[in-house]
Amino acid sequence: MTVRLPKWCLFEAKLAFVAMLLSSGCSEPAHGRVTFTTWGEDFIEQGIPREEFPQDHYSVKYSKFLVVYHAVTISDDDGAVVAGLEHPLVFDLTRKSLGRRLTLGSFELEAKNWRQVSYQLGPISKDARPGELATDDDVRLLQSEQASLHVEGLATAPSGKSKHFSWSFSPATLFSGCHAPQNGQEVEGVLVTSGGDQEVELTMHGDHLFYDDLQSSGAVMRFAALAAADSNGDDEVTLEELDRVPLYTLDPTLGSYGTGALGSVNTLGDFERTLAETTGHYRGEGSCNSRPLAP
Amino acid sequence: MVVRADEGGLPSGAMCATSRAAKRQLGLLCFGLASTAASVARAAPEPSPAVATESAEPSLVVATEVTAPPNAQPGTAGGSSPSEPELEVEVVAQRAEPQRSASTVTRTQDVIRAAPHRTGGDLLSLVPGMFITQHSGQGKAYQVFYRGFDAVHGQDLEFWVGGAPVNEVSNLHGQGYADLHFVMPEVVSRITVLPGTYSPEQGDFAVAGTIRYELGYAEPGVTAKLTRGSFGEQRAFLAYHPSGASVGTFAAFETQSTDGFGPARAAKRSSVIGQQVFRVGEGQLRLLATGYAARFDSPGVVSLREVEAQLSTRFDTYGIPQGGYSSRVQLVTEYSVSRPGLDWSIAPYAVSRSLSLKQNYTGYLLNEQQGDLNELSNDSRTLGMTGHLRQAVAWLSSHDSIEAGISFRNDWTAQDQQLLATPSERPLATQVDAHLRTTDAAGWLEFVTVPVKRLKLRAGLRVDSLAYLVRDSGGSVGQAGVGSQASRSAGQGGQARSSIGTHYGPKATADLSVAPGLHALLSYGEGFRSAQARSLGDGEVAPFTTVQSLEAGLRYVSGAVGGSLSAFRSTLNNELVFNPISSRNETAPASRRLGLAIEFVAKPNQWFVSSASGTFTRAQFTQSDSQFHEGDRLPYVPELVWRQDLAFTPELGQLWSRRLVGRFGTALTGMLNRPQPYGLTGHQVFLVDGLAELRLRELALGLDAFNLLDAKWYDSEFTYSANFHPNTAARLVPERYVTVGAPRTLLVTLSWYAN
Amino acid sequence: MTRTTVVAGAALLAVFTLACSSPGEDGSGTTGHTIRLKTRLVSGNRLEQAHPNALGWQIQLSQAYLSIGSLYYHSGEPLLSLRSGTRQGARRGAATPRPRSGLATLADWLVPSVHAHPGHYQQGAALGQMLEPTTVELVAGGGGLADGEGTTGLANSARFSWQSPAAGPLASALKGQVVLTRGTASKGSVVIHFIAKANVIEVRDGDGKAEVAGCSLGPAPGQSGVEFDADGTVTLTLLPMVWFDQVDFSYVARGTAGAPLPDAEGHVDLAGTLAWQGFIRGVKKGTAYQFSYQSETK
Repeated sequence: MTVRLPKWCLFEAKLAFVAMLLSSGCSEPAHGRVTFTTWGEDFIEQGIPREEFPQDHYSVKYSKFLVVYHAVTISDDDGAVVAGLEHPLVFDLTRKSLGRRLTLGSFELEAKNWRQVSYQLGPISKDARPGELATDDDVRLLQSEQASLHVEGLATAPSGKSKHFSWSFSPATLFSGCHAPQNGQEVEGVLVTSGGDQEVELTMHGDHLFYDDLQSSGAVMRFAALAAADSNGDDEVTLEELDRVPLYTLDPTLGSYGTGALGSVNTLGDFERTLAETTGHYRGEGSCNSRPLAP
Repeated sequence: MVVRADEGGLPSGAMCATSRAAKRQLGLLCFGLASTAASVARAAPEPSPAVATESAEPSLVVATEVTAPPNAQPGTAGGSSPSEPELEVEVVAQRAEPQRSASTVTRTQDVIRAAPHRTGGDLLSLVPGMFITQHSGQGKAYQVFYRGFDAVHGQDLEFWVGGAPVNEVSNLHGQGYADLHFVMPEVVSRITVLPGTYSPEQGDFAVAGTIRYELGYAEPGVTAKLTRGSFGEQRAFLAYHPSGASVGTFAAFETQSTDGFGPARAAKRSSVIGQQVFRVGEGQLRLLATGYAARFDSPGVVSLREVEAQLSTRFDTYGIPQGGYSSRVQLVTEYSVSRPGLDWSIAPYAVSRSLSLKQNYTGYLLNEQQGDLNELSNDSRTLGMTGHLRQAVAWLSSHDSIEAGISFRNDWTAQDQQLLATPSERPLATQVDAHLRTTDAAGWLEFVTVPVKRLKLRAGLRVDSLAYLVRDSGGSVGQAGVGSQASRSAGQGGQARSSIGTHYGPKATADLSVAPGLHALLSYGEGFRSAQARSLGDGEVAPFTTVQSLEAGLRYVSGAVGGSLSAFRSTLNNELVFNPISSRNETAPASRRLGLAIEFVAKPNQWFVSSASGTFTRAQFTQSDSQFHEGDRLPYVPELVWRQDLAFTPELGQLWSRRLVGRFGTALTGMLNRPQPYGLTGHQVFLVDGLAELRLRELALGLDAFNLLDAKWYDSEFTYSANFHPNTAARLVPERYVTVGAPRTLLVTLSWYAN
Repeated sequence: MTRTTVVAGAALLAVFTLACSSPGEDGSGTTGHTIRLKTRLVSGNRLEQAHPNALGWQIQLSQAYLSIGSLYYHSGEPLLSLRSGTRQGARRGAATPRPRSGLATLADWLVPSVHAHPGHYQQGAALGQMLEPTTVELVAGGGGLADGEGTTGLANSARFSWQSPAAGPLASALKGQVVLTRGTASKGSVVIHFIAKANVIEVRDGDGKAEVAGCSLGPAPGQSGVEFDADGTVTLTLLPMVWFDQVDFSYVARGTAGAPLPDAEGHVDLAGTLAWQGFIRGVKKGTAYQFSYQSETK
């Protein structure tokens, strides 16, 4: 049996077929939006409860957690920056944003997996501006201290006695190659979906400043050794006081304060500065390669 | 004798053989478009050699099956006696498998039976260019190497058996996992091999090509076989095929067990397959049901360094309990109609699969105290359907046609993976816990035209839309159980993410008839492999591994000889390379394969058949990443694979008024240049199998010999880091680990044929 | 048919001929190749002379025994390049870490114990190893180390381990310790003859392993990042003075409260003092174990 089609019908069919073939490779790439936000989590906004300090049962409440985000970028696989912040932005992560994250900026990008996301904490510069809920005073404080990260807070012992701390950390730190779970799936960088708006949260981990080991998986949070460094008894623990405490003099019952393979961490001050380089994270529990930048 | 059309297709111009004699079980007649409608004819057998003939434009093919009369001796040759009665032949026109590339081949029972085979998966060794290994015990899917692809357990090869897909979408052990153990080799009537991606019927996983098994059993009456042999191997096989019915109508059962050729190699399996072909209206209805279950132990790998230093023997294990369980239930219904100028079919199917694997490739590398043993389970339920319609159209010539088809499958998969302590097997952590729903809906269209005499052009487009819904209930891939907080994520979460993507795959073939029987073909096609569902992000446009295939070659089919010579090229936009440390395939950069393939089958007379093939492929990366560099050869992929099967089936004389028929066969398998990472080259493989059988009508006694020369060979070789001696300094630098190939194995089979 | 068979056979032969040419004749092989790595041990301090430490003590060693176990060379950057870690409890509704994909996942699989703390070291893939334990005496000039093996690739860090019980001809001199030193520390008029030692338990890191992970490995001691491109030599430069950099010998000076008494030879054992704590911290510092690689092709 042979079915004979009219010629015009065949012509139409051929046209349709060719059009279909062509259309398969000529569609415009879809786009989506990426919005960078930041959050200090409950540990920074509300405090770190004593249950998180399993050995000495301190609790910590931050009153200021100033960060300056610099060079927040998305790059293509060749390293070319396709999106980035125009100015360094300062945030105080202790300020609650009433249920939503503090926003750094938003970008329209092709819908695909952008694998290279990086950001810097610092350095503070003249063109730094206050971010959402931050003030000019916050910017000026960082500028005056030449700090990338400035934290203030109160640590309270089980006895109720408190120590105040106010520490400024200067060296800038680069966080690159960030990756994190996204909807339950580990994603390098950010996956921009067609028509979607992906929130990329730069997350600060305030608890990191109190761990007692730089390398061990068994590190726990402690404050007793830091409190004991208050040599003048004014209930203010300064970085200078921490600098005066060699690690070898620490009572082992106050924590191992192991430094791993690091050779230049000799005092509690060195230890805190090293911990400060690890506070930056990505989308909650995601992480990045962190590297201190030369001043 | 009644001859009915087989439900499957044939490559046009290939092995369409004419029914010749009462002794032949399967013959194939080829018709052109102008052939008559389905009919019942009476065919007189002609005592001439089995040959292949070719129709001028075999868009439609009629296959016939010749059912031997009672007391005939199927499976033997020797020609028919002039005194034998005329055969009743029922002929049903059917759809052909068009020749879309020079290297498209089929292997029929005469070649399949030339050498011994234990399982349906074993038969893959007959596919030109294919080398198979079994690195984790009898029962785990074969690892398949084909034309420069390490298809692992099926990620790059599309498998169909009896009209149902075998590849498992997003299987936790490996994408496209395809276990063919449920098929007994006796009931495979034909293997069709579609290298490349030139057919619009080829869908997901058809990256290197497509393999289709058609099922049939021609021995009339009841067949019972008992096998015993080396290493405690036992097998019972039972089959029946109603005399006078289509070869496609049969039922078969097997159960097999072995103690294995070394410690931790025991295996057991049982399988049932039943298929019935009915005539319904103007077409035929085929019903297929299969059931299968297996349990197997696995010795794991052994360090080649330790073997060569005689610190351990080739057959040693490290004493880590490994192995698995596999089961499959499959139902297929197909209704097909073929008549001149028009054929169509619809074939819904359902598959239920379970796979459980316990494995440890790295010893105590990741967990120095409790070992790296993990146990995965992957359960899937598949519902799907295929269908097509082809009809002749008068476009540029009277031989033109248009074909459209659909394909749909939906898979529900539950998968989890646990880290277990060694040796207690106490669960330490949940590494994967996920439920997947994957859908592949496809449609395709193909035009065939003969614009000028002797030139046939095909152009088609296949569109696949794949959708995913993943409910990930937690799990941590990292070293759970070591760090105090590492296992905290186990069992938490429960997030859903969905993704969808579409692939367009154009196909084209130019087929020039150069001389009688000789065709020059140029083929191009684009295909794809879907992504592992769990790797997709929410809202992501589902990416595909895409392949572009190009082949040019000559195909010759005439008289008693058929064969092809072809050059091919495949490019992939990304690779998956098996990583024993993570027990799965890891992403690697783009790659290219260039190769040359030759194959031929010769059937000069009724009692001799020879088939041989050789395939050389150079597979290289064409891009770089942190692990692989442009120009590097792909690891583990052998460059040269050859195979030769020879079979003699002479009639030896008469005994007790019965014909004494012999069957003698050999198979030579060779594999050369298997590159390993770090510039190393794996061991070459050269194996000889053989069989000898004497049959006296109802009874037959046979001897199967595998690895007849007792070659000391390594089935699989991997190069990676492992530590199987936890109390000594870990050897972290990658070194060679091997699984040992089976030594000489002899099996004696006593067969009884009641008809 | 005969002609066809001949043609087919010839073509098959051609395929074989093509294939049987040795692999990689065109210069391409699979990624990387295996290499031999000789191992050399040198002291980075001139031990025949005294060296000052950070606390003003001049230290002259007379003996420095060290038990050396396996050495590993890795792709991961040393600890100075930190990779921020993860921890729990900080975040309400925080996402749970999920399996990673691709090579990142592979890296996770290869890193045994770095999950729940700040500042962990990702050792990455192992590119080389020396597995023959031995004991060396550094003042007398060290000793030989066995050859190792490896693969090509970019190496960034190394892992030093102590062997216990010690192995090699000098093992008995360690008397069950993994580090045993004798020497003299002086500051002004104060001169202290000391013994500083550590056993395998005392040198364990926070994960309970007697090793120093994340040491630098580069083209020269103290540098990081070198391409293992051919057979070559890995040099372990030991700087025993790092062990003593934070040792305040005043805690063991005669007359100091709690200072131990000298033995019959006049040596004071630092064990149990703050001086000893400084010594133990020094022994664990990665800067005391610096690795470098020199290719034989250069």
